[in-house]
Amino acid sequence: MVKKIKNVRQRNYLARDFDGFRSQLIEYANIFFPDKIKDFSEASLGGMLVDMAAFVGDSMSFYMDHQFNELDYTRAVELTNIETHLKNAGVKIRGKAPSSTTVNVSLVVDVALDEGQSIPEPNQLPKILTGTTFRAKNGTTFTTIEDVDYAATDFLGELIADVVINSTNIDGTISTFKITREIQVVGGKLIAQSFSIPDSHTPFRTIVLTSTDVSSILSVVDLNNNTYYEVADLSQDNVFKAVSLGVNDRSNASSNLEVIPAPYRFVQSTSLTTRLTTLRFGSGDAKSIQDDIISDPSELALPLVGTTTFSKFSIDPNSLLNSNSLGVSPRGTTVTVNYLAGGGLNTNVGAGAINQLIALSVIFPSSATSAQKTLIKASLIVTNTNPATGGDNALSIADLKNKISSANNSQNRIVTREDLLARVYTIPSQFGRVYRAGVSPSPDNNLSSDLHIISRNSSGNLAPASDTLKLNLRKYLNEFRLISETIHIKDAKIINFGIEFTIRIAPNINKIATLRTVLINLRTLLDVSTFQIDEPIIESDIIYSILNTPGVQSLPSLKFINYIGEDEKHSYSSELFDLNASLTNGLIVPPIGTIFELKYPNTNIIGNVL
Amino acid sequence: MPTGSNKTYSFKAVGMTSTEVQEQKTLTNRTRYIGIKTPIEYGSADGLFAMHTDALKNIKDNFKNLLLTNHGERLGLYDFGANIRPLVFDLGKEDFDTIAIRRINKAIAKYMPFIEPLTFETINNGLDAYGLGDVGIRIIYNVPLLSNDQQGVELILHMGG
Repeated sequence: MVKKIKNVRQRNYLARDFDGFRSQLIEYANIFFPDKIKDFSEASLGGMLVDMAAFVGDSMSFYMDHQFNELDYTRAVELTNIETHLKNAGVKIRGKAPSSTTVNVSLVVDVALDEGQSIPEPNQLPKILTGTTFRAKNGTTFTTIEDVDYAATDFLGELIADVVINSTNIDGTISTFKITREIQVVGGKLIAQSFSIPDSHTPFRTIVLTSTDVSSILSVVDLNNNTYYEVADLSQDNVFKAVSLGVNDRSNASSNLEVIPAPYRFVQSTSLTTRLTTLRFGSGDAKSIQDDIISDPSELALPLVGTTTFSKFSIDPNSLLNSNSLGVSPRGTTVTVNYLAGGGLNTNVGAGAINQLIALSVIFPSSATSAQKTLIKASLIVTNTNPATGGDNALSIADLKNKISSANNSQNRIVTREDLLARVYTIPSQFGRVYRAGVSPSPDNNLSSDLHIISRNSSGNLAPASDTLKLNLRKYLNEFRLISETIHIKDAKIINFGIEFTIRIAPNINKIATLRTVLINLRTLLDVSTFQIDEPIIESDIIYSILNTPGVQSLPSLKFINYIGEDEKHSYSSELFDLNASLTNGLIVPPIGTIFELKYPNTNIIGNVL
Repeated sequence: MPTGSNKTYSFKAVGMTSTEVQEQKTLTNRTRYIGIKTPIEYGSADGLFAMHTDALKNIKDNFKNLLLTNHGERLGLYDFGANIRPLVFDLGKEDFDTIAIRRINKAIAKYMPFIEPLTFETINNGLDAYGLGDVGIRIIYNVPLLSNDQQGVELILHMGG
């Protein structure tokens, strides 16, 4: 049987632009239709039809290239596509960034006597609330972002506020105190905006805030006092919550960290084109919340219908954790959003620029009289000793695209040592501050790691982390660790050390000045900020620093001293460690989980001159 | 010079087979379609559109379309055409002829360089049925590559404004 040959005409797919398509079409017509038409000149109708076909091909070719480019974030140009790339990579689009600083807010209060001691009148100590606004000399508004209680005390029971005598009576007794506290402020305005939500169920309802450059959403509350929490994505059904301790502990922890369920939740997104911020709520019906928001993993069990076997199948573990609703969508209520808006480079102001009160939001103890309140409010003085920094204009599209590459490397799990350290250092400061952290394999269990941490006290010296910080850290890390990974959070041990050296100085060189230079260099080299947990002391660095000082001829002796215990002026850790005996190959390696500290640079470095 | 066993043939000495002669006759007798006639109309059994079979008529048709096209009207060729329409607002001006000739010459030079324009003549037609002034343009040309016969096209411009 003769196989019929299919009539396939030659095609060429190399043409990509107008001229290419046109010449290919004409060539095609000349080959296959030479007896039908010959005139394809530009002035002819045949030429015009070919032009039109070539134009369509050119346009389609262009859009195909364009769409292909849009698939890659580095080459994408359409804002909506760039927005999608950013969303997929987890990069948050923000408006202008506000500057931040602390302001010292001083108030004058009366004196009271406590066991014969003059103290600020406790009944007049107010609490300045979030939303108090100040103005800088350039007109920028700054808003407080925390409630600050002037009656708050530290773990020793003493007022955190700085108290100085403001005025005295004729007989020399104290009349009034000036109390000052540092308050965190950001350059921007606190805005409260309410949205009336109709009584109809709309899954994934969205509301759009009217202000651009929203830097932070402080609270979202409805009429029933349900608080809506911001989550990274709507499948995240719990959030971290700070529960105030009332006092700061020695690790500066002012709050306990709690993990709470968040059935009322939303995600925030900002449009690249309008810079307006949109809140998107979940899909659950607020009227049937009980049926909808609590996940039931047992419901995922699959019934076997008409068979007794089943194959292996893939499963998304998140589906066990999620409720069906992905959170609640509000209905028949009014949602009030409190947020901070504003920012930009102009919010960066110098020290002393913030000096005017705009609006004071304050509450007093109930026993304070109206006259006292008025006087205290009138006495308020505000200033900033540190410049307000961090304000910046909105990131450009190029900047945002560059952030995608780094965002691709981030993850929500602790897998490596670097992941763990990054998590430890990024715990919000109100839960305590870890100054240094070190990770080492646990000697007791191969599957465990020891996390040694250390904090600093108010003097800037190393101090063991408080239990509050460690508990907060445990809850925080637990949300990110692998299920089989055990992390032991331990206090790092502190080895206080010093050095004693003898140098020979060249003739005709000022010995005192040279020695002072050597001491200054060594203080910088051995500053506590230069040490990490488990980091050794490198002897040659010290020798190099000394001998490199102009005028020093030689270093006849150098020895290390381990300081322990207490004396009249100094207090050291109790860690005993023979540094000189441990000096091997020019390194003094500390035991695992230990950090070196040169605590008193003025006395712990002893220099002799021959 | 041919020497020894070398042979030399003249092309003229080589004939054609009878089949080839027949095929050539068929091709010669077949109507050769050149370009599409405008305005477009349905063609005979040979094709979808009515086609020109005479090169001079085809060129005249193209020339007519060139004169009737204004800049921006042709997809992909923004400057195709003589761009005469904007001149209907300047029919009464002294330099109308100069401008029109220049535009037509420019269009011919770029898109139909094988045409040789010979004369340009304006004809005052008086008022049309709507009371507007009419101006006729008569262009005489020839196509030296094909024939020395003079060809002519005539445009009627209705005064604008």
